[in-house]
Amino acid sequence: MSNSTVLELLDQVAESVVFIDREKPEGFATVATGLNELASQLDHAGRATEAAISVNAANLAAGLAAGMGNPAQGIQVLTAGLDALRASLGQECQPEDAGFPKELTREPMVDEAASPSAPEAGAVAADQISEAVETIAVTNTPSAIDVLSMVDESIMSEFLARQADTLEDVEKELMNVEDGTSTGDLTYLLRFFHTLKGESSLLGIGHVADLCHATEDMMQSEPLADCVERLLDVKDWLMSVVKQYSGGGGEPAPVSTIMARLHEKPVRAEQAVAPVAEAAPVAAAPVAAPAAAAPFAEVDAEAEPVAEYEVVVYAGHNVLDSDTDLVHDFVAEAVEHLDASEGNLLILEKDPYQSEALNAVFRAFHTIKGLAGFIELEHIKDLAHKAENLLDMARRAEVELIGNNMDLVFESVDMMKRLIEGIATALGGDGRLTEESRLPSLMTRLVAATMDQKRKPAAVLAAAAPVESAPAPQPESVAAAPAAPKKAGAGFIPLSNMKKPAAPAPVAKAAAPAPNPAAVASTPPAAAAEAGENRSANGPAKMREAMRVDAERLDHLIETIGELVIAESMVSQSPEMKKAGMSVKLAKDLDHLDKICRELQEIGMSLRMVPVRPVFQKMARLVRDLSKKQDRDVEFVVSGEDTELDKNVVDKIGDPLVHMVRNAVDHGIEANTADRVKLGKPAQGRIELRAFHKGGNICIEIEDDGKGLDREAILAKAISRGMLREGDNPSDRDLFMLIFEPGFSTAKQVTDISGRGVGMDVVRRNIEELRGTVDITSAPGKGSTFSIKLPLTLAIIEGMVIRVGEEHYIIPTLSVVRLIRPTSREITHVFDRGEMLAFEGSHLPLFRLAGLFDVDAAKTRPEEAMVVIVEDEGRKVGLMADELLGQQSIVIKSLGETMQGTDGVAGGAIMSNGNVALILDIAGIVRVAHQVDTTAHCLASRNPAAASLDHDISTAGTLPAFDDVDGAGDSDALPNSLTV
Amino acid sequence: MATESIINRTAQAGKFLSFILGDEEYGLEILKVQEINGMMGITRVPRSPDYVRGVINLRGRVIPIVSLRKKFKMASVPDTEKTCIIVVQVRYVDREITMGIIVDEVSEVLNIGDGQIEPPPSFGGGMEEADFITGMGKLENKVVILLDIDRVMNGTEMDAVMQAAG
Repeated sequence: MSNSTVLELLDQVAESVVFIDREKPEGFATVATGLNELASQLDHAGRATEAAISVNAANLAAGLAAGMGNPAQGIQVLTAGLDALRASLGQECQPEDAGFPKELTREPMVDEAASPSAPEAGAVAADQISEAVETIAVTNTPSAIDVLSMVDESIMSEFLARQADTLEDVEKELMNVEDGTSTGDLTYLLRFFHTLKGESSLLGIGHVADLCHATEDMMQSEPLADCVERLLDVKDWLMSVVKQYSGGGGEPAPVSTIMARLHEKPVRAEQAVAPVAEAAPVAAAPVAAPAAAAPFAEVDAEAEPVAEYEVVVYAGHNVLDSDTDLVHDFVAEAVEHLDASEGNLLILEKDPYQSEALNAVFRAFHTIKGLAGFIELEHIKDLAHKAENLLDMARRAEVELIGNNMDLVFESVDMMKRLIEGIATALGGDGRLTEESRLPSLMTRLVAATMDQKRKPAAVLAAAAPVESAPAPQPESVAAAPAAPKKAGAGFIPLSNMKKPAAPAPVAKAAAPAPNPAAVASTPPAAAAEAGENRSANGPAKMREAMRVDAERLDHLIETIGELVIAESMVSQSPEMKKAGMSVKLAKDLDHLDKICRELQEIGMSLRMVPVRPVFQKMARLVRDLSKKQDRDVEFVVSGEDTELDKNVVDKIGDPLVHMVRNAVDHGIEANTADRVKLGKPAQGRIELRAFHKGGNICIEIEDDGKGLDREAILAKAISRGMLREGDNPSDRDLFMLIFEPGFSTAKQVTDISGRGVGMDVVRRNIEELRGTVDITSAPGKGSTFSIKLPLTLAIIEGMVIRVGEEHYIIPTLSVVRLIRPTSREITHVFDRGEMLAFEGSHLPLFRLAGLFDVDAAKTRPEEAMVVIVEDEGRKVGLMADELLGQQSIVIKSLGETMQGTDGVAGGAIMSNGNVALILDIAGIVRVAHQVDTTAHCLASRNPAAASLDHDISTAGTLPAFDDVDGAGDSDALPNSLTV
Repeated sequence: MATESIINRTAQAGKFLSFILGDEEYGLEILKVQEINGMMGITRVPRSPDYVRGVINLRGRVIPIVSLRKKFKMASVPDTEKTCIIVVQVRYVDREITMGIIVDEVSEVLNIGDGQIEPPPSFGGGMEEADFITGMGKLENKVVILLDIDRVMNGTEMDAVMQAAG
């Protein structure tokens, strides 16, 4: 009887303990059988002590199987006992094992480092850790690699990609200021730094967040022109950081230098601006740093001790050596498990005793460990194993998953995601894995976290086993045990023996669904509602079968379906068809074809729809981090995360949601719980994020039960900014909408999270870009609700089809204010060129589409034509067309990359006759109309470069409009610009 | 990117799709050609460069259509039954874009060997269109002008449009 067999058996037993369902004591029978077998093996091997413990444990298990004793306690005792057994066996068997295959020995060896029977090793490791902590505490700027490994890589890479572009824009803007070609758009710059600050602190890049904060301070306290130099420095530095994080470029200058640079010149200015400016830059370092970087610093302090834990060498390991199909499967499955785990961890954080969630996370890691071991990804197996150890201890209530431990688990999930990502990348590339520099430190900390606790268990069993087993009647249990020997034995598959590709799947599947119903049943009625919620966050339990399809192929399919629908209608609607006197059969067949086409179209549309869940999950994480940072107790409730939205919308909704959620935590929920209690609210704040369908739109609501918007403060601020007059009494709705104005903030204290009045501006702009609307309701002391209404998809709009001469154009219905046929009295001429139209008491500029677009044969007399009043950013203009042809839903098509910049045209749409009609870009037209008067268009079209000067609607293009917005007058402001 | 195209300017032997503009016969590397379509409804795009005829619906995709006559500053002629749209894949910087070019008539697929290709003629200054030529295919009874279609679509004006497109 070799030791390896014994250890293997031990592992089997341990595993079956792990999988025991507390509500089904039958499971213990398996354990009992295993333990009995183990005992006899040990007996053979001459290890009487261990054998005795095994027998005891077997008796206990058998008793539990018969329904006696407390299963939860039993599991604890059993696990502790098994650990102790392994420890005592492990130490001795090590030397003898040398000749055995690695697979069989690795399990126990890995455990060794952390196990109680290797105290020397443990002590050494502990020493090293504390040493490392001391050395590391000095350097507090996070190294790129540290940061990278802490966050989800996809978020990070998306973030970096965006920064590179925006930073260039910022530079352009700054250069303009320096050249004197523009006075600079302070709002734009502020918005940029604010967003960057928010995102980088979310990503844990504390020093960037600090710098942005200081920069914002500087920009608000000094005239822009004075800071250009320094802002450019900041930009360069940020650029170098982005480069560094993206994997290129060297270490940027330390943040302190650039910070110092920020404060170097403005000494005079800073003092003048008194408390705010003075406090902030100083505060930026000490105050913001602990706040922004606290979790970070803490983690970071122990970060660097690379040497502590010997991680299995995996760099250069070629994943292509394994069966790539298996690896692919593994990656997909692991990602699902990890996503689900994140959700479960959030539940756990809310309620550390939510054993179902804990078990689910544990199982996820366990499955990953098994699979990784099978395909020989030792580093992943190792990490999973370490994390599993910690989780296991939490299951046994030896440690509590709070504070540092919870962070560790979160970090493990993040790291695991990163490792998996690395494998996915390697699969797509040359198959070589690259080193993950942060892994060793994480491992070390995981080991350290488990080590303190691990010293106890050996004693636990010795003491507990006899006590527990005493009440269990022996004869029955012994009889019960051998009764199910082979059958039960087949239930657990020793990890090291897995050789068939089919094996990993059953493990996962068997593990996931089984405990679920039981857990729901076991939840006391009081917590029933919560259980329902948990279930929805419980990914693997309701995993849908899905297939990954290349997005391009999908788009192609959808396009082809669209074409089919058009072709079908061209055939069935063709006059020849009708003329020919169709046979009944043909008519029926055509009907059938029509039905199939419609159905196809519907399916096509639904293909792009994805649930908002990932975004919501990100928000949950954000609330967790923020509330920790702010030390506010906030409960975050999510509903409707299965609501589906177009992929593009889901991708873009994250940004505004981040701002709104941050606001809800920072401004919404009271800082002081006493304030809440006084108002009769529970001490814990509550933020609810909901998504649901409503009348063809998707609504997303963020509700907090905090202090609500301060009507008086907003009113006062609006008056002081000249947006309202003294004595005005706007409706709540109108007043609250003012908070979306750029630079509007009632916050007295600018914190590193919010308060500058930039965030809400970002929210509105992003949502408008998605063609949605945002609305606020709020009651003082009760909280506020922000409701976002979004179209189901970005690909379809409602449009009005108009005719100008021979050509058809589409105006998005959203921008249309009214259709009128003017009388000649309502038209006024300016300088014989510009025309104005009297509308609702003001004069709007009137533009002839025929003139703008150089169309022949259009009607020339406004009285005979039709005028569409359209609106963009509060500016209304009239567009003259010949005729309105109707309104319909339109699938937007890009005009192709070469034509995208065309002014005034947002895209194309394929009409029912198969031709393309152009969709007008109202914002662009309003701009075009202001650049060129209707007689100058030929010149513009001959010089395309000039005509498409400000093509970029989403960024720079609309910025000039802000002056007008502030000026409050839509219509009075416009005629002036007409004359330019 | 201009320099890049210059390096690679001499046509390689292979198959060419030949088409006719006025009295001249041009050749296009067959690998660049996706398909050939008869004339179809082209939607004019206002305020675009004059050689852009507009956009068409190519089985659900909207692609721009360039008139080669206009691009080469040749006289315009009305469309006939033989007028065709050749759909080509053009490299622009690092992307492949699909566009259509309008030609008077599509002729045939030619096999042109190495020995049959002569370097492009030199017209001195003043004829920038000459840059589009990668060689002259000398066949038994005719000469085919071999075009670098990537370069045709990468002219300065197209640059302006692309820059505008961001």
